[in-house]
Amino acid sequence: MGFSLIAVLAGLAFGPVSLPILDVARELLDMIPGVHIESGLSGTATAIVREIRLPRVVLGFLVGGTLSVGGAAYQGAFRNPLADPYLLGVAAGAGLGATVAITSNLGDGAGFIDPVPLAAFAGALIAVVLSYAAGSAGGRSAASLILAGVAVASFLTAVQTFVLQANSDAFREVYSWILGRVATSGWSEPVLLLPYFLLTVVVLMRYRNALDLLAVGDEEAESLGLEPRKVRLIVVVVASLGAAAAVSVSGLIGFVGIIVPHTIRLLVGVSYRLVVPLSVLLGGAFMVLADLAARTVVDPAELPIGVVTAVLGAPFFVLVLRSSRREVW
Amino acid sequence: MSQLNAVSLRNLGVSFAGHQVFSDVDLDVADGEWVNIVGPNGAGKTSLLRAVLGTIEFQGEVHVFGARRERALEWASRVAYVPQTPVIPTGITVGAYVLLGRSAHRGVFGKERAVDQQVVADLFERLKLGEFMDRTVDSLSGGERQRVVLARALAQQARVLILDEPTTALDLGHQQQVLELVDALRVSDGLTVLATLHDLTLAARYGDRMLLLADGGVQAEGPAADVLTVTNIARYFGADVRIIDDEAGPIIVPATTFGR
Repeated sequence: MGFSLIAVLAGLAFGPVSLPILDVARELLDMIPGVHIESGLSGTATAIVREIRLPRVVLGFLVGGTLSVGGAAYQGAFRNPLADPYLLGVAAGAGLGATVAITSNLGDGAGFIDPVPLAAFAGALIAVVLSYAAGSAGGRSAASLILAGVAVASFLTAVQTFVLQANSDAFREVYSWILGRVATSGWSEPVLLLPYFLLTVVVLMRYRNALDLLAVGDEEAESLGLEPRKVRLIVVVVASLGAAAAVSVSGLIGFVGIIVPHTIRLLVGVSYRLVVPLSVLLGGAFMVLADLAARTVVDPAELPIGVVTAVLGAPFFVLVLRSSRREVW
Repeated sequence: MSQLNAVSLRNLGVSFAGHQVFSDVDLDVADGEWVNIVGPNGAGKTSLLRAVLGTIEFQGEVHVFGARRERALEWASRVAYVPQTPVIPTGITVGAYVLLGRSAHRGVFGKERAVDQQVVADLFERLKLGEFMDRTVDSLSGGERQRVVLARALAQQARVLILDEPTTALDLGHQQQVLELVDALRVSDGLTVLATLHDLTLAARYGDRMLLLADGGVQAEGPAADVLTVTNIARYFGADVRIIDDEAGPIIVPATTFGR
């Protein structure tokens, strides 16, 4: 909680123009209805905080939280430490959707709606539906679902590569979409993502005991009172929906869905009672910090956030992995 | 008025991928009774237990205290299960593992209540697990682990306890310890026990009755001495044995020409 707060404040205070962090904190408090505090920030600084940085920080937090908690849920639902929210083809489907939208120039003259996120969202959902349809036909075990997801993802990625090859002029734009960003134009992206974030968090919080039960395998979980197939379906659908919404506004930010939940397991233990809520908080904070690095390190240019999450996240994760004495998987 | 049977099976059958494992099994287990299922590998002993648990499809009828299984949650408060090879999640603490058994009562989505903590605390005391509370289950020895798995099943506070080969991988002392413990709990808590045991001598010692499941159905049923005959064992297990009569039950030893 404290870490998340610090990350959010840092995300608001630092950038091309650095602002005093305490003033930013006061400004934030001032935004709470009924609270009036003079922050001491100038009019321009207030505008930077409220209208430029805050939406971006909020979006980063929502994306990071959704992908991390989704990763935790996938790992629990499939009892697989390598599962992430892209396991059933969310990334491949979103990638194909975005590629098709970009290469066919749907964006030109479409007016006020950007078709890329919409196409990415649709692609991601289609991929999950395909994976589920293919994987649940034969045997309905968690493993067959993973295999179906791998097949669907490979297929969609191949189609995406083909479409991209045929439109090599769009290569740069597609590539930059894939590497991810949390750039915002005002509040529209965070507002778009918020309902999916809330749905994912609320449902997964409710299902965290169920995820603990699933850890003993379907048969034992059922003997303990769980309906494993039903629970897996709900958890996976919700986590996929959240991930699809997140990637459709931010691109394919990898890695957070795996390292954030595992970091938490290494630090506090394997129970989903803690892993689920902490994934939201730490995942959100991690993404805010990654975005801060992305927009300040090579200022005035921006690094793709997918690069930052891996470059920052991988060494950090290795550090935790080496120093923790817990066996978590 | 007749007492309700704890477990009642009628025309029970299980098939996998078109292969009928067994069929037409009838069995009544009285309240408080201990019945062992014996039989050769592949006869369907575990499948029979799973049918009672409701975790596989079956033909026929299964009743526990007169009720049929409708929902997993409600069934979990009637029937508790100790699997042959429990899946132990890495890193789970003994306390958290035993608490899993409480989901039958607090509901999968329910908050943990004081009563859940109390039940677990009592079990830790009775099963002498207190010192292990904060250890991880995967760090325990086989005998300790089996007690922890048993504690999880007992936390369900179900009146029927299903044990699938509870002594596998335990040495003689721990086998005895676990079975004595189950029996003590059966007597003190009024549990009904339905178990599979591949060790016939143990099965004869622990349990009121046994059921011989082989060749697709029940081949014998009754007191150990009636079921475990040289003929039955030769015919259904393909084993050449000698049977030594003992007041606690027949002792089955392989006949051998070793060294002669």
